[in-house]
Amino acid sequence: MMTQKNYVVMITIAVLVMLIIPLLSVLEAEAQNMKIGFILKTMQEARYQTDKSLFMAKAEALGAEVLFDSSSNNELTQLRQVEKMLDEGIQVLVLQPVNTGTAGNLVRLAHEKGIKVIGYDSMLQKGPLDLMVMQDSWSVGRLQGEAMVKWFKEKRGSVEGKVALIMGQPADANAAAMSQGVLETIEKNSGLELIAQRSHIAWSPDLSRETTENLLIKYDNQIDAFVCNNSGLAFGVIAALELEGLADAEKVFVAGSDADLRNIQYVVQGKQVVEIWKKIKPLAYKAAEIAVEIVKNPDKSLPDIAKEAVEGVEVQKFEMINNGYMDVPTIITPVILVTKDNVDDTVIAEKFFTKEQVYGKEGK
Amino acid sequence: MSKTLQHESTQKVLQHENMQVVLKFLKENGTLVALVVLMLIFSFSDESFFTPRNLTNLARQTTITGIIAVGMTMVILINGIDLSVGSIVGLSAISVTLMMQAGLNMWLAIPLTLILVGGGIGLWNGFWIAHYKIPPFIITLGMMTIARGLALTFSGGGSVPVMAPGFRQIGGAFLPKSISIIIILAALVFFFYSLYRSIQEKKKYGIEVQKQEIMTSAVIAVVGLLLAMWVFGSYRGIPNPVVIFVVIVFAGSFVLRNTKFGRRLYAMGGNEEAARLSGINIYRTSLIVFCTVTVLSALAGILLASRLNGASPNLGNMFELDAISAVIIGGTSFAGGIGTITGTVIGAFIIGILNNGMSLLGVPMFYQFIVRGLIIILAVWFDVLTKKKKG
Repeated sequence: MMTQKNYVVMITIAVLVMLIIPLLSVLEAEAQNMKIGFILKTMQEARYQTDKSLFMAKAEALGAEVLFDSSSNNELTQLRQVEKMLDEGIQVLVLQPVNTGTAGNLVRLAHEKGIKVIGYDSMLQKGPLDLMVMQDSWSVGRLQGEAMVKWFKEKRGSVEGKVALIMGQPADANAAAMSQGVLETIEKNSGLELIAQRSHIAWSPDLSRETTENLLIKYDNQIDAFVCNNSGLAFGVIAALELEGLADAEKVFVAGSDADLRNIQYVVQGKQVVEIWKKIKPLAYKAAEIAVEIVKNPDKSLPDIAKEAVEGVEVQKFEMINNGYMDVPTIITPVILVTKDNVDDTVIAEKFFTKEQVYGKEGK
Repeated sequence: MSKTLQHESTQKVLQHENMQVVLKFLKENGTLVALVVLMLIFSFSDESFFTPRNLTNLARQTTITGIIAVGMTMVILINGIDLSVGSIVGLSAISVTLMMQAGLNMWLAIPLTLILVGGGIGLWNGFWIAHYKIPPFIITLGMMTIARGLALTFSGGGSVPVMAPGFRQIGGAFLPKSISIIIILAALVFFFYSLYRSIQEKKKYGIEVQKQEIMTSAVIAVVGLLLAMWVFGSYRGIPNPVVIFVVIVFAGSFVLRNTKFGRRLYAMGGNEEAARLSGINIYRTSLIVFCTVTVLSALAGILLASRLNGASPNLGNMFELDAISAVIIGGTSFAGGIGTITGTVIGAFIIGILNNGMSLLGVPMFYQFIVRGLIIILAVWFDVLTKKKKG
């Protein structure tokens, strides 16, 4: 059992650590002059590690110091973090909002101090925003839809059949944007019947498995395609299909998005038809570059900064996007369709995964 | 004239007696009646609900919550609570898959996970609760975030795939049809034998045999087992996780009803101080109970990982609420001391049927939450109502 003395020692150490860490960061901050705040909504998914390290590497290479935090999907935590960073004297804030509907207030908070805010990855709705850098979420659904139509033509001879749309977190702006592209494809092809459009709390693969089991029963296995908002959901769908011997790219079309390793493995094993790969690098790099650019040229017009940033980069585009409050100058980075045929040229060629990871130890 | 009056009054008495019987039945089997009503509603509203394939699927989907709820019943019986079970499901799923990825044999990884994740966390929870008398709500709330954090840390936030081909079989395979039917028939024979034995014993000790109660339980058992025979016999047999669930339910019921340890749990939940004074080792009993629930949660995590053939760190999100709901709907008193595993199983199936039925009907998720919340409140309200009448 612990003695009283041990407690005292432990508490003293804890207090010291709590005092020293902020002190150190303040001292460090004094040394440099460009200060960028970067807040992600969560670190729950593996990709956010990449977002963080790429962004920080780029910003630091450009001579800026980055104050980083993540909000554990809690909007009150995020509010406190924004307040803290503003107090610490950041010159620009790059923010991925937890709540895309209310984050306008965070931006107003920054504007009161004359600090500009760049939206990251998830589009802020119905509120002010200076600039936006995001992936092409609409294209995700469109690419999945196009791949589905192509699959119907090749495997079935005609674009006719039942489609289930497996969606992520209810009311999530990204989930809605990704689904829209799929819904448009289904509308355009009168032979396709949308039999279900289900949301899944916390993007749970376990819930998407249950949904799929229930749908297969209801339609007596006669479902032709499952289009999913992310990789985890697709993974749950495949688990349910496997039990019925339907996890086969020849029999049922399954599309995911995020390019998780296990889904890429399913693609090469012929269980899943396509995945969408959202490249993090252009997104994180571009956000860091723009942030530095804004600090360096505080008087330059933001749309000009954004336009210049995409000049000469073939696949990125600039658009003014209305978010329900204003037209936000937006930089859109591309997403890529991954199929069995181009795995080697995409995720493996660009070192997202190694060949051994994807094909297993024996290789191919 | 007087004859007809007499006739009327006897009729009234008879009617009254009938009413009494019905009321008594409703009181004692309220949740079972609710279960049957729910099944009827869904059977009429969706033709694919009452089919062997869907009922097999329903049984399989219910087992994960059910297994945790068996442990949770014991915890709530001693007036405790465990909020960490959902996170433990996630942590154990990540642990078992990571161990296998590291090259460990499946049959080594599973017991290791049960011992390290299940036993370890159970001892930790139980220690703080029993030794320092810290409320279980707080300790397990802390463990809820710790275990989730560990799951995220070990997996680096990402998902873990499984390569071992046999692993999927644990949660995905079925007992062959013929064996399934033999087991169900054996259960039927065993049930009548034990019923006969208990009647004999009661007669031997001169305890009054209540015909009506025996009839009720016999009818329920026969109908239940015949339904099981139809469902599992005409689809693919009994799914593996259901077999595991049934074994756990019987073991749990047996322990609570027929062992000293089980009776101690009721005593502790009724009045901990009195239980302590009568010589019950509260410390050890609490440790065992909190270990049981975490080991069962770890098992649920392994089954879930097997069913998905992989794991994500956020698996088991909110499972604690499902498990607690099942226990409460099943009639276990939140203040401890009253409750049965049978009740919990019915509670788990009520939640399972609601989830499955509403999903088949395509009810949006938002409404599903509202309905489930209402059912929990209704169940507790019914409980309070019937208890008042007794007193």
